[in-house]
Amino acid sequence: MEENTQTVHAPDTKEDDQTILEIHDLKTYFHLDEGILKAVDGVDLTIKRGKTLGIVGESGSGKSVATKSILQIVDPPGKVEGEIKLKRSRKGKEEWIDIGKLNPTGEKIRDIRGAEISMIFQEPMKAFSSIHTIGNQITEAILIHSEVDQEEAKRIAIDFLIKVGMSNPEQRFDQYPHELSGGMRQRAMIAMALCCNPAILIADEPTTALDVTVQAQVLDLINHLKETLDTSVIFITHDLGVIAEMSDEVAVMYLGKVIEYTDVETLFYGALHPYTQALLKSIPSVAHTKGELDSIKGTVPIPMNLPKGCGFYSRCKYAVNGVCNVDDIPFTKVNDNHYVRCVRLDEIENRG
Amino acid sequence: MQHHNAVLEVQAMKKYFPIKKGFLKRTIGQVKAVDDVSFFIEQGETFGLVGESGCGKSTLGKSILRAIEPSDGSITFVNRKEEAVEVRDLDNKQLRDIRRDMQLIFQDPYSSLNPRMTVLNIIGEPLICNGIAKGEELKRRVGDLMDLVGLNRKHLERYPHAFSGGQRQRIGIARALATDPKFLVCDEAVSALDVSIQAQIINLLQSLQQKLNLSYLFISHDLGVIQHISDRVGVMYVGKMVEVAATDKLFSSPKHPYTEALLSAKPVPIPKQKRERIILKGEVANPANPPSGCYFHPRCLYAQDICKQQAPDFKEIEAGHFVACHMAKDLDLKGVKVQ
Repeated sequence: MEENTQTVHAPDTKEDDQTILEIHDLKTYFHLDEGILKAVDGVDLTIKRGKTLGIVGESGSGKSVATKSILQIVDPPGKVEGEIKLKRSRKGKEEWIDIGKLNPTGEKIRDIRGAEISMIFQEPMKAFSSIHTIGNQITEAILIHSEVDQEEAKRIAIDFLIKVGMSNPEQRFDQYPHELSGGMRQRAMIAMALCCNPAILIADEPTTALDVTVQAQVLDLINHLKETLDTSVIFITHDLGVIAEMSDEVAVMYLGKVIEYTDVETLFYGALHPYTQALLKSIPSVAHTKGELDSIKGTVPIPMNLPKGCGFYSRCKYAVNGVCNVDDIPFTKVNDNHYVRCVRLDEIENRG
Repeated sequence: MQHHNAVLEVQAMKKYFPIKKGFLKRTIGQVKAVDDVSFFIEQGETFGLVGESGCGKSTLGKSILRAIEPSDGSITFVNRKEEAVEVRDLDNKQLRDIRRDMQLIFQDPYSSLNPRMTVLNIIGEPLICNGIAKGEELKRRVGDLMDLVGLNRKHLERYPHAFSGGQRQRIGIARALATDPKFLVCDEAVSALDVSIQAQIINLLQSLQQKLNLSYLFISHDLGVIQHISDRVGVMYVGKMVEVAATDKLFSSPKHPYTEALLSAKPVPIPKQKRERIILKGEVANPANPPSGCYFHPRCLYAQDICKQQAPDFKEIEAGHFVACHMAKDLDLKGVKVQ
């Protein structure tokens, strides 16, 4: 780990005006009876104002846990370590606050959740309480985070229901979550997430449970709101099509580590990490072939008691014994804004 | 059979679920889950079935196997003796016999395998039930099946929990192949898997198809997978088949406005490409209370008066291209680029 922290640089320094959230060496470990499960293991990310960072990875790569760690809502026995610096403006002044140091159940972090950083979940039925009307739940969030009265809160809530394209917002306000369709429920949740004008919106697979036509509506909505409200978005998905559509920058995660970080065009046209390349080739609509898909052999290991070296070692076709499985792999800068965690880059580049 | 090379032909199939209410459980309405669907599948081909959730694609797949009893219509299936059989007329014993030839692969590899059974028993169960093999012979055949789907035959005595998602799906496929069927219904068989594993299973299904001359009814909501694996594709909307065509034809020049909208809604993995996307208004019609005329007309961009009054027929407008739309011949719809 020693070497790791020395060579890792955050993609941008915090002097950069546009950076509003900077994560450095984030580690989320679950101490279980069987051993330590390293769900997130040394992640660095930077979120810029008004931009979308896409996080892509397979199940078990730690993408959801990483974003839950930002809000300190990791399920026990998960422990979060590392720096999570958030820029917030207070009374006209900008200050940096380290969320990682806050008490997960304290008042300060509750102040940030839902106000500065809010979250959309994959399954809106689970995120809403089923015994309160959606109007009730949205106004609750507004009343907690801003000093308005009940009536004003209702007006804001209905205003946001209109913004997310809900039909008959006044009628929907008094409906319960089960009375809405999947797409409508997701819209209600987006309205709830945005009603306090958050600086950062975390969307954890918000369209995975939706049909394509509804997904198109929701993606369009998030992009439109991002532009009008100048919100930064962290978009988690396993669907590279959605990544291409939504992101400005992309972080590819594998086994709790970011293994490639770059802008969206470089990801699709100049990905360097063997895992990213293989991932792209294994998607039918990218592969451009009717024949056999380039699948990755084997499966993702459980991030517990892992051997030293690269996590992708056992599945990688470029892997070399004695090179890839000796030490932790540094996150190296290849270009401006392009970082890759691989020691055999030279060979791969020459072949590409 | 009208199509001489077909392995399966479905005609005017209907499946209505009654809605019961009150103390006496009177039927007050019907959910038309599958409503007058006709299509055929040729020997050795993959027929992709695509549509949104609730459109009846799974009900259709299960009705063909009579896992759900269809309400009306005919299902003609060519069995291993090359005889055309009307599946709806079969009694229980005959049905058991014909199910050796038609099998089902499920979506969720976690809930479709019994956690208390060993792999030997799971894969071997169809062989035991049908009295095909037992004892050492059973072990040998299950081992061969495991080799076929890329599992290690040494793991015969293991339980499902010891396998990963992709491996479990392989177990499910091996079980479906145990009785040496000629036709498989794959109901969202790769939807629950990660992309890298999904690619493995798609490759496996394709190589098995070539090796064993299988025919697939491949049900999926993922247009990318459907485009990759299918020879012909059918699109369903609220219980009706709205379009059937060869894969390239359907993707490059769709003839039904719903297909066009579906294709344009699919996210393409090409960054920063601005496309004119058709965002459909409103929501999928309720199959218990569908709109008049064409079910798609309240959301259709091209709807005319006739669409509200009259349901369109499912007609062949070009060779092999079937559409249910009044305007099919007049519309110039956009498809997607075909590789």
